[in-house]
Amino acid sequence: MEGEVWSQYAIFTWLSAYVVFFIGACILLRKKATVPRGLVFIGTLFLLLVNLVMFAVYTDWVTMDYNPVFEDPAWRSYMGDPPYPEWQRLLYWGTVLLDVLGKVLAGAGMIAEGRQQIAILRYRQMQLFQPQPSTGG
Amino acid sequence: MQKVMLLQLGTGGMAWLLFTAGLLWCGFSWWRATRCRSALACVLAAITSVVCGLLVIALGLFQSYFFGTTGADDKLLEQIALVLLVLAGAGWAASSLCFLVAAGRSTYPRPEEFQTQPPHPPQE
Repeated sequence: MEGEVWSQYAIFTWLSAYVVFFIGACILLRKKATVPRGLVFIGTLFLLLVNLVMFAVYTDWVTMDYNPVFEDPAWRSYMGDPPYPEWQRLLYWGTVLLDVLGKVLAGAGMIAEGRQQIAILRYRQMQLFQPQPSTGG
Repeated sequence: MQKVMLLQLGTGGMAWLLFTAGLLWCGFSWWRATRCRSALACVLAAITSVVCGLLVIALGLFQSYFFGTTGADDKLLEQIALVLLVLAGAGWAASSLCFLVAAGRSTYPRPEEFQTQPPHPPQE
């Protein structure tokens, strides 16, 4: 099978994964809005946007001529006029920044959510050992 | 390798590590707190995805160091890397699906559960 087809399958599975992940983050936030869940929601929203752009590029809906290798000073001196419009450079680095920001926010949010769940578990376990009011006379 | 590429790979790699660590920790904590099987499945699927992602990186490094950029073997390795990438994506999709189910089932204590109990009257 052609490599391009596989790369399209890959980007499609990644995009669908982030769509589902985003729906999960929405459910979490709707059930109980806490700071960690808000972080997961915002982070996943960023990741979804990045993957939408990547999907558009990989499926040739948006043509990208920019390559980060052009940032090399040797390339820059050789090229003269860059063979790509400036917006492509901004789009590329914008998605890189959003990707990093999204993963950091969502990752930090999920770690905080996990800590909260463990704290709740400990609280509930502690409640089990609280002295109960005596009913006998 | 260029500095700009190294910077991109470094920050992207660290962010990816934090994200997967968060997913694994969150799923594991959910499982511990609620014993919800979806949370455990979320962790297992995320591990599959991480393993596939690491294999893709290893394969890329192996290809760049031992095979150069041309040749028939490169094609085969490229195909394997792409299949692994699809598997990693499928792992993520499964992980996200389990995350969705676990998010739907996750419980959060009601506010009254956290209220302190009134002190008991002293017993005679």
